[in-house]
Amino acid sequence: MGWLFLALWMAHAGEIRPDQQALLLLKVVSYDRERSRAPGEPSFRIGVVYDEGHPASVRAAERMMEAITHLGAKVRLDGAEVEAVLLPAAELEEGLERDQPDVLYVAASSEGPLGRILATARAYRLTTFTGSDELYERGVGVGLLARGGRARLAIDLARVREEGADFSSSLLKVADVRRRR
Amino acid sequence: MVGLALIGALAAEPIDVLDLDLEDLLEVDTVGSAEGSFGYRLQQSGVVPFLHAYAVGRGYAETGQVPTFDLHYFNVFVGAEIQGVVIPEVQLEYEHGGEILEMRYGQVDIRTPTDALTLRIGKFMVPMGSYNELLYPEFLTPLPDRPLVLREVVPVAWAEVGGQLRGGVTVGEGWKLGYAAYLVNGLEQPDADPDDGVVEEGGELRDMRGNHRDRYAADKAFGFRVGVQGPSGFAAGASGYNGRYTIEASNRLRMYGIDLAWSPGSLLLQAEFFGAQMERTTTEDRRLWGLYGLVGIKLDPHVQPVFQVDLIRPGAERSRDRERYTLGLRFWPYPVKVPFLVFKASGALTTPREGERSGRAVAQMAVGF
Repeated sequence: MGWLFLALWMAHAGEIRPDQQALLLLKVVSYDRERSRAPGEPSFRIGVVYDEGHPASVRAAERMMEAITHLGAKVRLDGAEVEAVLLPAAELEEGLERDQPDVLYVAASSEGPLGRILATARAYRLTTFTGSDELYERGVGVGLLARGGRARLAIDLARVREEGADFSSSLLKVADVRRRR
Repeated sequence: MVGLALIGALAAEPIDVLDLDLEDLLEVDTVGSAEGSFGYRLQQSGVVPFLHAYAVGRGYAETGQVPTFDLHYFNVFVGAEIQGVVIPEVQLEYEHGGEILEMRYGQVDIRTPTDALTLRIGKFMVPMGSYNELLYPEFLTPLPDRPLVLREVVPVAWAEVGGQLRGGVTVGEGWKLGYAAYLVNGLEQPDADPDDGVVEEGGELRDMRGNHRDRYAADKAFGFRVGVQGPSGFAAGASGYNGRYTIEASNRLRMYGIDLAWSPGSLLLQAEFFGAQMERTTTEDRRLWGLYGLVGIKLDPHVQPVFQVDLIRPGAERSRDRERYTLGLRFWPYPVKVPFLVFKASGALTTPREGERSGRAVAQMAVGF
């Protein structure tokens, strides 16, 4: 019984490492047929959104920033350099206007301002990603999650369509797709 | 894993994500066989750890004693904030250059959605007055030495093992009512032979600390502090404690006290009074009490002269009844950049009811970091 509990716990515990999440995020974006960048823009920019009032969220966002920055020196997305910007949730609209990210990554422990984050993402047609089970269950579009010792993609189809994404079937067939809310 | 390994191997040559295989990327090891551990998983689950410390170095000279330097404390705080609702913290004490090693406190705070209720479990500083719980680290205390009443009545630094409920409610702009109530093993007078029928009683309260596990009596001690906080650093409180303290008899120790603090403008005012009654089987109860009053004036952000009067009546031989007058100076070299670095100096004159006067001079550096 103890082993069963441990196995179940291990299967559901934790998140994928930030660098693994970042690479998966980029790969998922590569399947988005609506993916586009402004003409002449040489980079693909990930906005890392966090709850500045929650230390765990701040920490998660910083770790994701480090991971993307590190990864950015090693990978390209369709020829574009990859970079990230930190976006505090309380000033999200201003941050989006200023930094013009291509997608949003919502840091773990950002449940507090999540409603506002998702509404803003819909308004700006930005696909949302997270590595947190909790945030995915609460409405983030794409989950980069851990299951059974492996990574799992979870996609809320209605949500990502509201956010402007159109993922190809070759991605959807390997993801856990939620088709209805 | 293949994708990351490939990228790691070819770091000098950026790879386009379009060339990576999604199935490979999903094959990452999320349990963490290579980097994994229980600690790593905790790190992944939103635990924000912290590591701090404080150091106290001093030199002192006292009538009848050899002057000496002393690395009084180099204590380490280790803790974490877990999702803003659970805060474990331990203070590891290294006293007198490592001569004494122990855990000063090790507690877990479990918060609720309201500030009115927090559960504290473990070994915690006893909220008897404000000094023992809130002020005792030397980077916060106004003078290098503790008031006499906070050595001989309240045995600062005093920590007990048990559980505590605490919290506060705002009752107006700038005003807050607070409380703490606790149930602990409590102070217990050591008894070298707990079965000889001789009741060890009426001893020194400082020697009764460290009862981390009750072995002889099931009785638990109860205590509380209620207080009010207001503008300009105003704080006032009343505290009480009641518990069995003897092993071979159910004699009780009762302790009570009031504390006041106020810092309007550049002024600092502090006063605390504590009394205790120790039941004794063979003679009348031992009653002890003491108080101190302190005034400080911040001349500028760097300098604060401090004057303190101590009065102590330990309820023992008359030579221990005494008053102490202390003049001191606090100096912050970097009050903005390093507010917890402070130099202190003091000179004290002690006058007992019987016997000779004595003097003591202390120079101290304390830093919290």
